[in-house]
Amino acid sequence: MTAQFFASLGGIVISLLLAPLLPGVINRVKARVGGRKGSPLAQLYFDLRRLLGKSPVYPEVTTLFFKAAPVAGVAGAVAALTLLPFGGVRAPAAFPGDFVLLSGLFAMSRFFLILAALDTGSAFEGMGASREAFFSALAEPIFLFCLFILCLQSQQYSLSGMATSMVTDNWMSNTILAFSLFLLLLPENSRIPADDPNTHLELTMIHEVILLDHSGPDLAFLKYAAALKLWIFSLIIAGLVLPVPSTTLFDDNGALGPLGICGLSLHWGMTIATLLGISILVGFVESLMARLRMERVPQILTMSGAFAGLAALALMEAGMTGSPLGILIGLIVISDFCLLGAERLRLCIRLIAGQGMVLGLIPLLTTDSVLSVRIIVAVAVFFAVKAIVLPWFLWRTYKKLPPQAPGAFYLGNTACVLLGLAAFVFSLWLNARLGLAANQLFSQIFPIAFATIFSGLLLIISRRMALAQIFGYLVMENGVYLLGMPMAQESSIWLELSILMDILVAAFVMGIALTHLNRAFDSTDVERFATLKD
Amino acid sequence: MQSLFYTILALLLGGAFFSLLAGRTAPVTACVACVGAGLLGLTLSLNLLSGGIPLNASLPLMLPLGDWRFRVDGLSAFFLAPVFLLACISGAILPGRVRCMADESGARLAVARHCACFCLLIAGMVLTLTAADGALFLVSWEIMSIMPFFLISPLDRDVNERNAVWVYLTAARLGVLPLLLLFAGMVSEAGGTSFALFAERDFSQYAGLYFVLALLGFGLKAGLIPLHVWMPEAHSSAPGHIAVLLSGAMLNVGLYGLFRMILLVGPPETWWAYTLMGVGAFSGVTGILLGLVQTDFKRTLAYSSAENMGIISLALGGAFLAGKNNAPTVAVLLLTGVFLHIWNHSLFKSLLFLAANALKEHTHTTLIHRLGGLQKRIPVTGGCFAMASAAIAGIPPLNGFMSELLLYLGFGLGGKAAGNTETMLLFWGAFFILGGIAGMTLFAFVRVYGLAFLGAPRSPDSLKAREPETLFQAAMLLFAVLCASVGLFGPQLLCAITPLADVFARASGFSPESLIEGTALTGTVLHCYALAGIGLVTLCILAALARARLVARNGAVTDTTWACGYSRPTAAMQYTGGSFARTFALLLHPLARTRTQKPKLENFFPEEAKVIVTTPDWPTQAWDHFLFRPVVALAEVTKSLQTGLVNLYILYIFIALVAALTWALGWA
Repeated sequence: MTAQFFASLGGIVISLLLAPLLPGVINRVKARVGGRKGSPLAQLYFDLRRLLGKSPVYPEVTTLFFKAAPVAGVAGAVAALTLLPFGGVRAPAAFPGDFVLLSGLFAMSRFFLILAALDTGSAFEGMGASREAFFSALAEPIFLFCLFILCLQSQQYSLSGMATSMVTDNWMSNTILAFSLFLLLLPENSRIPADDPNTHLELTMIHEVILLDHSGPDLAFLKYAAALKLWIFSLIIAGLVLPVPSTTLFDDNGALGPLGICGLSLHWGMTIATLLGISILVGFVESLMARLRMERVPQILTMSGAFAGLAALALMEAGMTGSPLGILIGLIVISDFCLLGAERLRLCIRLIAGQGMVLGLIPLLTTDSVLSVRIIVAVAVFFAVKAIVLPWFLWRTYKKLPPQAPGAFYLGNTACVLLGLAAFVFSLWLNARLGLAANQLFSQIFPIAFATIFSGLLLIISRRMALAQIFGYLVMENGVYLLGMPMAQESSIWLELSILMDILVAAFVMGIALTHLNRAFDSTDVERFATLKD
Repeated sequence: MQSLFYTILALLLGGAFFSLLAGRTAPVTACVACVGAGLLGLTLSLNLLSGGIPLNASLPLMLPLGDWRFRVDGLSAFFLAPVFLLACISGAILPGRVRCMADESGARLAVARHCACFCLLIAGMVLTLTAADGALFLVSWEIMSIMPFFLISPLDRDVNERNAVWVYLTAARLGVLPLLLLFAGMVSEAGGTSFALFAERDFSQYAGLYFVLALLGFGLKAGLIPLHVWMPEAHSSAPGHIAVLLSGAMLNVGLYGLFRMILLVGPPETWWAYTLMGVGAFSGVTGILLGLVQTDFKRTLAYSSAENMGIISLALGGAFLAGKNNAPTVAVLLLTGVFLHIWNHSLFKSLLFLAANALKEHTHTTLIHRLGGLQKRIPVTGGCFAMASAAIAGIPPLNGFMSELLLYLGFGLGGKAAGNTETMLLFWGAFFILGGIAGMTLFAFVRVYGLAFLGAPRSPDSLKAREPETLFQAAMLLFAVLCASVGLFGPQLLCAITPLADVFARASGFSPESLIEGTALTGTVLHCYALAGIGLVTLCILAALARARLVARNGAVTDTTWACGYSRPTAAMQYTGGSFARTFALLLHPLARTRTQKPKLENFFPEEAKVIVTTPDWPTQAWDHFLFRPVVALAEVTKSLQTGLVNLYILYIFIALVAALTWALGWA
């Protein structure tokens, strides 16, 4: 038995012992943000000890599935722990394709848990079972895809590749993937904004409903399994976010490497600190957000899936993403997706301001020649208009309009984001069709520019409010600007000024039109425009 | 070997013949014949799969346009194995089933004819799978397709069953047309009907057309959407032993035809891969989505068969795409996953249908909102249904997850190994769609099992449930054991499947040396999965022991629990199938097309009213609207030619005579 094997067993023991700490940290953060002192950090340990000593009550209608759910939950979670690398140490049960087995183990515990809920014959638990099955059916492909992207970087197609061979060039893909997994952690572990673990109201519950009729040791097993699941998700995110030590902790034979026990304990300490940090972050998210309406929970999953797709594409275009230009282009794509998914106008205005800032910085990076005064002045003017003046103007218009009615969309959020992803994929395909060399600037910017144009068109098509349609128009102008930018290196100043003029005229005209229309008709709903008669 | 094969054929055909003569003892005769043929056939096919040489045989009998030529190679043996296993088991339960049906219907059941058609169905399948001649293939295909017409509704209980039979017959007849065209084309090009001649001939000129015809004809039999319209009707109306054969064996024969045609017609082109992947994705997603909104859970099982066939088609297309992109590991992974999935599907789908029919026999209903609380009444049937539901939902360590593991890994690696962006996007899109289908399958089967078997009984129908007879229970338990243990024997199954995967990979253009790495990877994955399965079972046992000790030490009580404090809870408050699946149906409305009929509220005070929520099968409605109605309209128009007047008929003959004479002597 090699040192690495013992270390991995040690990792599993640490996980089993420390997992109940995470829900305690989350509750403590929530209490502190709410101005309360909060329960002790070790509250779940006390709860488990208390529950293990109680005698359970079983409903009369239940069969063995009610009793099998705790067993399946704990066994599945412990088996999943044996597949995960802990802080730079390979998992003891690693094999190619184990990421699929991880998802399968969660599916197994979910299967038994939902059947246990239906076993009680209670309408309330049936509701929880239905919701849990629905959301996890949507989350499963995204989770599998995220895990696969994680394994893609190492050649072993196993989660343990995360322990040894994370390439530092892929930090952008890793960051987006970590964000996607964090968005997935919230519904899968029944945290706000998907589910409220504290209330017992029918409107807000998913996971708590399923546990409602369990008691005694059964409930203890289920709570422990839930804590282990949270630990496992956080461990995956921590593995993505933490840098792998430059010299491996263990050499190829499994013996301790040059860094020794100190290096191992330091890395493990950092991992545990990151896990606690993720719990604190979850606590802040729970405190600062309200729980979403049930029909909007799929939107979190859609955003998570979109970011996972972005991470995959960032991985495949790995040569470019490390550079500053790659970061800025990535930010533009992210802001496109956020705009497609955002409903509130305030958020849209902020995103457009952000996009304008990023666009303003891009010319500084793409010019090969020395930065002449002309270019600096053009960039400054562009920056000022796109990032400051236009958003301010939009904000003023937004303040004057009446509040936006809900349902002011022709296409829902989920459909918009999915179509945006499809448009991005289409742009990539078009780029491949053009057949340019991969390191040319135009070939790097072209797919993003086209995707931005399509996003702008989608925004115009899907929104009913005229102000929201202006956002779409602005986004489309951003895309056109991106498209023209590599071509305009010679006569950059004229192109920039002409584009600026375009935008200014459009914004002023529409702004004036909006103000006048609103005064005349009390509404900027475009459907009402259709009833205009002369 | 040859004598064994002839014995099997003689047993089946002889069993059919003697059942017709035997009258009262027909079920026993048919049972002996089918069980014997099944056992002999299993030894034959397993022998061939584990390294035997292909078997060639011929009979010196007359056949129009062809000969009685047989060839049993690896591909045939692979598909024969589940056919013979199911023949054995359904033959064993045949006498019990016939006795139950006779008890129910009295004198209306034609026992001898039923048993004879049963033997002929199995004989037709065996002949189709082993035919080495085009004409023999078509004749045995016809025999196999016609027999369910007699078998699906032996009791002819109500109009739904009759409708099911007619829909099946129409679909079967229409499905033969593409096959006739296909074989006509191939025979005229090759100059003969023998498959050996087809194999030698290079069909590159019309290969695409042959592929499309094969996909239409065999896809209809396999049940790919939108050609699946006969499946929900036929499979849900058929009695237990017939449904097992239809879903576990006959669908596979459709797949066999597709595989055989692709091998014969030549190396697959890229657009074939795209078509297969597109059809597979559409069939998989729509199939399980239509399945999870059904009220009658036997229809859910039928739609789930369409979904599994879709997965197989998706993976086959992916394997051919890997062939075009020079990724041998991916091709081996996907092909092995396809073949494993075909066997796994036969196992768990047969068990599902057996348990469903055992349930329906006494309760006379498979509507979810009339069942409930059955696990306590019929624990063996319920346990087997749960095992099969877990297997089909892809729960480790059972067999369903094993094939899906290989498919996920194959698609993922394919995206990485792809040369261009399109292929990468296709492979990763397929990965994503497979994940979505797996999630929806879990939803569908948790819904079916949980609502029908668990909870409290929703109506008096569910109180009538009884366990079936002992032999039937033994058959179900055998399948359950197979589902549970096949996952642990992956590497052994690999020995049987690797030669087949190699054959297809070579047909895609790979050399044998490049496949070694893929085969090794597949072996490693299956080996580790078997070990993981053992470890998981051990962990479950340990956790169960720990829990049992704690509960025994603390002392458990059985009582009513809080359940949110309803003061007068009734069983009718539980979730029904429609409410469970409502959010899914709303989310994916364009594909599910659920119709809600709400009453018009006219008065001020509440009255009794009904809301009806249905999910009709929209492909059937589409076929009806775009194909059948125009044809009926055209037929109505031509009805005016048939007046009943003899004078007009003689006039028609006169016109025809004059036209023929003019043409023959004037122009020709």
